Amino acid sequence: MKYWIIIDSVQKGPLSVEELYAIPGLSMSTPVWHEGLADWTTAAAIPEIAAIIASRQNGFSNQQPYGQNYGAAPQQPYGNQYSQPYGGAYRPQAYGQPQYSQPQYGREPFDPERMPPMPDNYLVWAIIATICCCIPAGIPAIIYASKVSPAYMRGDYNGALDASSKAQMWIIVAFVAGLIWAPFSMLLGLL
Amino acid sequence: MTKPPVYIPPEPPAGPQPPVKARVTRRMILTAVIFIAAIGAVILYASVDPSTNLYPRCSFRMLTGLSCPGCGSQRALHALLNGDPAAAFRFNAILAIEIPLIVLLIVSRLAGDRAPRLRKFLSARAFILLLLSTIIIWTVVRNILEI
Repeated sequence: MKYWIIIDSVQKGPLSVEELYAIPGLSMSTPVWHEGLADWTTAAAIPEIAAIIASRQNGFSNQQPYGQNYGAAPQQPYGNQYSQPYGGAYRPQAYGQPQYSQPQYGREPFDPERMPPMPDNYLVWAIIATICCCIPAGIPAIIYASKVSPAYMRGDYNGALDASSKAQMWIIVAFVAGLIWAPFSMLLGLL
Repeated sequence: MTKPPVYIPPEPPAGPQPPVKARVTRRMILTAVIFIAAIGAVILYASVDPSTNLYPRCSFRMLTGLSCPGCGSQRALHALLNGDPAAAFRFNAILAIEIPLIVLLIVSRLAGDRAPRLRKFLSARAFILLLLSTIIIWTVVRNILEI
């Protein structure tokens, strides 16, 4: 589908999604029109374009279930009220869709412009799990942590995400087991 | 080709906008909980000696009689918080690697895109596997030497 947009009062179009991706001034409130629409709407109303903007705004911090917003400050030229509903709801799965010219399992060479940020490898938590949980589950967590970056570097985003979530799972196993064990061991210490 | 209709800019919103409410996310709550728990743990470990009191014990050691890579961490933390790094090193030597590494990983995370080479180094496969083999060798060595 081809889109027409208005940036700085200048109408541009027809543009493909790939071309839109290269336009820096694109925001949620940019007027957009495509064939079939009776009138102009905003970029926020078109998921395909909203996904591009959301991916830029979320930057580094999007795939981190733990921890704070460590990433660079999101670029929000029109204020929070436009971007909030998208910033939170956006998920990296959208990258599997064809508009990024990335078929299901990305086997294309590494292209940082088109890949979402690297998933967290949770290495800090994996190390803490090996120190304080005394459960061997910290070891697979570290092994999976080591697989995140190489998968990402060869362009296999889904592989990186998979290793990331497995590392996370083993860390949860280690901490849950540690928390269940702790009161038992304290009682046994009394005996 | 179909042409787009003439664009009529929408009216700017009238009057002052209501302030955007700061949202409390799950992530913020989780961060606060971890932060408070960490402060509580520091106070507890600084004031009470784990080797003489009611503290969690290592399951690996209780079940196998062997030391796990983390054994001695509680005593080491107590020693470290009381200003005795030499004693901390004797209780668990690998913390001398792991504590600075955790600090470095947190710094890298906070720096984000401003330190891409540090992040790349710390997430590299070779580096993490080196860390893993260090932990495993440490576990074997400490059980042979009984340290």
